[in-house]
Amino acid sequence: MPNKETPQNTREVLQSRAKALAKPVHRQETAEAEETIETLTFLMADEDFGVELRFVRAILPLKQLTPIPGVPAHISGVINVRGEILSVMDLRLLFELKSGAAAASPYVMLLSSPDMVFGIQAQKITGIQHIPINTLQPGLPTITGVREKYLKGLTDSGMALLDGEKLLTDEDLLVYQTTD
Amino acid sequence: MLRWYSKRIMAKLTTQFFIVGLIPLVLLGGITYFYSRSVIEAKAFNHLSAINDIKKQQIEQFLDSGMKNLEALSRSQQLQNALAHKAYREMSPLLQYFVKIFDYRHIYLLSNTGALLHEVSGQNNKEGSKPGAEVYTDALTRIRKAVQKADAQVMSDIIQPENAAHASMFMGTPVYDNAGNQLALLIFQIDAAQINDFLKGSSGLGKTGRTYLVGSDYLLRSQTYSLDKSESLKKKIQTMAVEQGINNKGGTQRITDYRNTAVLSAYEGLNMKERFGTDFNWAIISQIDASEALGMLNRLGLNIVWTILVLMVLIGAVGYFQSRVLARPIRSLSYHIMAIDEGNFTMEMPEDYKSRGDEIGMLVKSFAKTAKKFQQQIKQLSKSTRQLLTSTSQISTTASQLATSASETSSSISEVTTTVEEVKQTSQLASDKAEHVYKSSENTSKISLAGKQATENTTAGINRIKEEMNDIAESTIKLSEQTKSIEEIINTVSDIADQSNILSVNASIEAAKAGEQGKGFAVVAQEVKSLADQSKEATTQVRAILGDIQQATSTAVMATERGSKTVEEAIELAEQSGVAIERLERQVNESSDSASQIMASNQQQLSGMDQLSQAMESINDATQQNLDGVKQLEEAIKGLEEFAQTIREIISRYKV
Repeated sequence: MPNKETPQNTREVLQSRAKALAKPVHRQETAEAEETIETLTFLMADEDFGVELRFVRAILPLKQLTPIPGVPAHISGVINVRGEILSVMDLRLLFELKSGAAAASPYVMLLSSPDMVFGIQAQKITGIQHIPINTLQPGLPTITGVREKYLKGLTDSGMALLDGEKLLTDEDLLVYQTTD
Repeated sequence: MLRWYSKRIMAKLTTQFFIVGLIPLVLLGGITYFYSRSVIEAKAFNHLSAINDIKKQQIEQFLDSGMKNLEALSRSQQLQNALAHKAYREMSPLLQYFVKIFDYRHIYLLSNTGALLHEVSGQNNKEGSKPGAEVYTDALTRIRKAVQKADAQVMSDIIQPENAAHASMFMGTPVYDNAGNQLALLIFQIDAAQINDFLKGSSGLGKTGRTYLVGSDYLLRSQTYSLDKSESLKKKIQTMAVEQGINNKGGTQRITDYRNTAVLSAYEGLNMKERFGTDFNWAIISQIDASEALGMLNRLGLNIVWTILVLMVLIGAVGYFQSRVLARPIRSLSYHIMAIDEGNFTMEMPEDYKSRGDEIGMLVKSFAKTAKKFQQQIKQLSKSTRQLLTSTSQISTTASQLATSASETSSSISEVTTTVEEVKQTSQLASDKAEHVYKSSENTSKISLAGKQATENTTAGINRIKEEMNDIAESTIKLSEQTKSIEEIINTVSDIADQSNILSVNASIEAAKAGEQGKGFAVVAQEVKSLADQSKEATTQVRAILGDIQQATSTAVMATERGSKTVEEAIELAEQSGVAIERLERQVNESSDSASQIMASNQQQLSGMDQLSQAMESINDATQQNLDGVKQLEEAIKGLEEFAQTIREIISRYKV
């Protein structure tokens, strides 16, 4: 420890913290003039992703995941959320991202629409950002297939904004099969 | 004078021979004589008493058998029957038989009143033609009264009435019938010659040996060799032997008898009163003339005296000739020696003395040899004296050389003495140095002891440090454990921060759902999120700090380990230094010992030097004495020369 803990130091630390907290609020107020998308940002396989906040019902720590047999690989299993059984997806498999212990996914984001509710596993929840719509860029020509299908755009910071609506409505993701 | 001496030797030797021969002969003769005398006398006495005893017993037996015959006859039924029927003639055959067998003179049967009832006589003993009762009337009356008075058997003494031819003795007894009435008296008359027969004869006693009986009235009752028959009952013999015998005392004695002759006498009493109840007693005496009994002794004495005389003459003759044989050569030898004394060696000893084989011959021979040797020696002495004179002059030269060398020795000795003194001083110095070394080594020993103590203290201190180090290591480990628990706490805090973050995100989501009304809430949620982020950041910082602490603690642990290792090394070093100091101490002690030994040996050396110095002084003295001695020697040599001259003169006097 470089500095000793004295009342004076404590006060200084507290002051600097107060200033730091004060600034973003001020900046957010200035950015309010433009039209923004409220986005929940998260990490998945060390990559930045985002999803529109309005499709997000809640964030939960992933607990008691029950694997389901006879389902596609991207369906991790089901969880119990206050008595409601919901399916959980691992988008890493869908997006062909690296998977393994190094990039664990301890969180689950519940996406919901009036017709559909399911969870997406996340490595880390980084926060909520207000992304101006004009800064949003379409997907790169190199991004094709499944990625392109569920991607809404990229921010200038390189975050991939997922299309929540498509995810919720896409029939491909649904599993409705009966076993013979 | 010499002749007188030689005579004297002969006289002395002869006399001595005589005396030496005479004394044992006389002693031996005397002892033999007196011893033989006592033996012969004792033997004679034994013989006499033995004969006396035998004769006494014979008489006693004779009297006893007479009394027993009387009793037997008195009790015979035949006699009693005859008396009862007054048929006295019937008794004759029995009484005749008794008289014949026992050779009695008469047997009488008297009535109680004294009347003669019957008489039987022996064949050859009739008193002429008269019957015995007439001749012995008085004697019979006396015995009858005695029997009646005693009412028992009675014996009378030997008597001889005036008209009787023979001396007799009487034995009487009363005769009773079966009812116990006294019928008559039975009396035996026995001839005294029968008793005399026992005493007769001198067999075993020699010519003059006799045995005789004497009564209480000292009158002879039997015959003796020198007296006539008629002397019996008339000769009075009152000697000591008779008196003793009558008093019943036995023994032997040399006495003078009734003939005034010296006799050897054995005597004994017959003890008549006790044996036969008589009122008289007899003594029996055996005797022999002393001249006959001891005659052999006188002959022995005469023989001894004669033998001694003859032997003395012989001894005297032998002594004279022996001393003559000895004295003559000695005289000759003395003449010879006198001649030598006068310086004459030319005389010769006679050859017959030299050829003798005994000690005298040896003496003469050896003397002649010695004289010859002496003669030769004198010749040699004369020669030697001449040589002695030459030698003394040589010795004189040598003595002067000796004196010179002695003075040289003396000067050398004084040099040596000086050197010894120097050595002594050097060794004194060495001794002082050694003492100094000894003292300083003692100091060093003390210092090394202190060093040892200090090392021990150091070791103890280091051990304490080691303990402290161990405590520190333990504390550090504990601290490390505690940082782990802090990490756990931090993890918890981090979790809480994460959850807060999620919570804030959820809140934001809820705020967004609320639309315009939720905007304020969104701000709060944002605040909460930033707080959570800060918390998270703080936890990372704390974790970093904790990492630093952990690193520091591990460094500390390693440092303590190194420290404890160092401490152990230090202990080892301290121990090594302790050992080194001990070794040092030992070395110091050894050097101290060595120093003391050096001191001691130096002291010995000093004393040795002193002794050496003293010895040198003694040698010096001795050398001085040598010098004096040499001077004396020179004088002595002068004396010796004079002495040699004197000897030469003396030798020239001898005719060789």
